[in-house]
Amino acid sequence: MIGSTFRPSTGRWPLAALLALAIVRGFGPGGAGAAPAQDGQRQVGQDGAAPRFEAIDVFVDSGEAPLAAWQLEVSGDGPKVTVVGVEGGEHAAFREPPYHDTRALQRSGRLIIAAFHTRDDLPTARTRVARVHFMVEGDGVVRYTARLVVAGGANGDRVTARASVRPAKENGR
Amino acid sequence: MIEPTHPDREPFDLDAPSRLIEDLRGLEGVDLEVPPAVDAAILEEARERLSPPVVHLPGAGGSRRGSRRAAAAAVAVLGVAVWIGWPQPDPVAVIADPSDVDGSGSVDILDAFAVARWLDEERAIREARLDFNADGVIDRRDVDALAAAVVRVDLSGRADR
Repeated sequence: MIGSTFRPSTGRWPLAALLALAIVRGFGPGGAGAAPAQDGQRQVGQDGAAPRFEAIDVFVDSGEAPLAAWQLEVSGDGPKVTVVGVEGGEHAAFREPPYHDTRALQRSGRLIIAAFHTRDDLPTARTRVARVHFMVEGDGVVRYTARLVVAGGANGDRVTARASVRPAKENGR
Repeated sequence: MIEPTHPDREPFDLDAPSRLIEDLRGLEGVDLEVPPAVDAAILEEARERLSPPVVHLPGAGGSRRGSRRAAAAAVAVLGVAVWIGWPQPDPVAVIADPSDVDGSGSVDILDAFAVARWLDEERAIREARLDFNADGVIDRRDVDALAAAVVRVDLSGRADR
């Protein structure tokens, strides 16, 4: 189970690797017009259209309460959408990529992400906790959502918070 | 002659036949004597049938020992009855998921966070239930194992979008 879950302490290499893999599958020898995929899944771009990549920033607003832990579910609803990567957030407490199930990458448009921080330097108010990358095949607008499962304070107590998403900007702000 | 006493009934003849009367009068002079052996046999039969029954418990060595066991059994039955009637703990708490570390009723990242805080505070954690990766040691890897379970996505029923 650990092997299929990304651990925050390992850095950002999985995102780069997955993006590279997605690009190779989409535009390389295994891309459009090539032999069928070994795993039986639809190949990227098999309908002739190049996939596009979109990213969303995920925010959690805990108001005046310091945010020490959070868990939420992100999903993309629309054409064929799959999650291809996850980055950490803006604040130092959540800068590392959050926990997530790596098995779901490139297989699902839905992902559960979660993180915590045991130190005292915790963000308050609205803070970006993650950035999630999607690959979209076909035309159409994708509706991205984030559903907050739980948010916790420094002592592990539950705090009231809200989750939101917006298209990612280059500088991450 | 016996007179009927009921006022609503017609008087009727209660005289016995004359021969019966004579025969009954003749019995007055007969000396009926019961032999002592017959008398004793009847008495013994009566004692056996009319005495209260004795309950013999399996393995009972005597009446006092049997009474003690009967009393113990009664106490046990009473105890079971009281136990059944006593308010029982919440069955959910009894079979609670060991991953629900903070006892919130759900397993989420706050459970992993709780274990991580304990480790950071260098608390001596010896609870076997927190050894999520079953390696005999409770450390950060157990936190990761629990967090991994929390974020696990069920891919079995996913729609191929």
